[in-house]
Amino acid sequence: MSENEAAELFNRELDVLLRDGRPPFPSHDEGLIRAAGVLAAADFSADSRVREELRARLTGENEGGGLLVLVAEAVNAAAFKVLFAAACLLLLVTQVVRQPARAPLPPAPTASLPASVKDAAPARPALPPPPRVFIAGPAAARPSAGGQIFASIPMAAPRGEPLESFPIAAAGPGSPIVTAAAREVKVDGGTDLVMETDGAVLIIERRVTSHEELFERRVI
Amino acid sequence: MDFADIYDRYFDKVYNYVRYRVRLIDAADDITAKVFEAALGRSAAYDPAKGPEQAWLFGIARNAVADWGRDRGRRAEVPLDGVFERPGGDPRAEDILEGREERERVLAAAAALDERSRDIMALKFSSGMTNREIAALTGLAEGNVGIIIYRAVKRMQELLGGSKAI
Repeated sequence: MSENEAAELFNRELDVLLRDGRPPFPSHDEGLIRAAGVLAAADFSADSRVREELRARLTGENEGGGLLVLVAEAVNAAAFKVLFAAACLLLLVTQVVRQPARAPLPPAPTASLPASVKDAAPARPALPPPPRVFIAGPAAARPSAGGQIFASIPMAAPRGEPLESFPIAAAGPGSPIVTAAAREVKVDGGTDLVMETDGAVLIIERRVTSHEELFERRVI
Repeated sequence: MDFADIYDRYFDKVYNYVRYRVRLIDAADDITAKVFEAALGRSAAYDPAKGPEQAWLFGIARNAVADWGRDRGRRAEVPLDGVFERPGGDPRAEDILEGREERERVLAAAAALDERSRDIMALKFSSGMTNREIAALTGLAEGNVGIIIYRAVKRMQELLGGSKAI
């Protein structure tokens, strides 16, 4: 018997075995069909650890699975595909129709500065006798309290005294600003120092602050 | 298509097919889950006129096993070291483990086959498909499928010679 004939006979008997659950009798090769019976009887599915959980997830026996099924069905539905294509087409057409004819842009405005900043500035009211301002140097830096990384450096209180003349000083080489007046202004939580110059008003604020306002705290 | 019905009818078959191919329990669980997830995603595209549903499902399973093998950069198999040696020791423990051991020996014997034979054998003994259907799925001739099965069972008979059932 050739191998082809033996294989054909065996496969016929194997189909009977798989269909009926038992080998045909008599068999042309008892040992071989018995081995096939062992293979046919081997069932590994009891080893699976996902069978129930997977079934629940895929068939919608729990909430998440239901959603998955709905999404899968929706995506697969032919109606969904048609609707999706129609929506894309509608969006495209809408965009094309809404595109207005582009009008020519107006000419760009030409920026210009006043001839003189001094001429453009409003008239100032009469000033009180201007004090002269000194800012004392800070006290010696104190060691950090409480083991903190940063410590406050106390700022000296601003004080003033009348100026002898106006303006108090001529602008130095290259500096266009001349201090005209300076005064303290009480504000909530501290004192502002207002300094007026020939063409601008500068305000130096003095108030209580915290480390967090000045520094970013990082953990190394 | 009632997916729950498909799942209940084919889970064991697909799982057994995958175990024949990859042997490892965790991998078999992962691959089987991927098979049914993919089947659910493609269920609307299934056309009964193109073939029976088990051919469609096992086509997905074959691809999933191939993907797994590719991802791992290896053939979908495991080594055979020590598998055919029966453990000694406590006979009661041996009795308890007998069923599991027998299944492991079957899997080990299947792992000794070449990739194509193992695929054909797994389809034959797990899917319930005929040789003609397997031939259509794998692209082989029906006669060739029969020869492969015949040779593979003979080879496994040799390997399982120590089995109590043979």
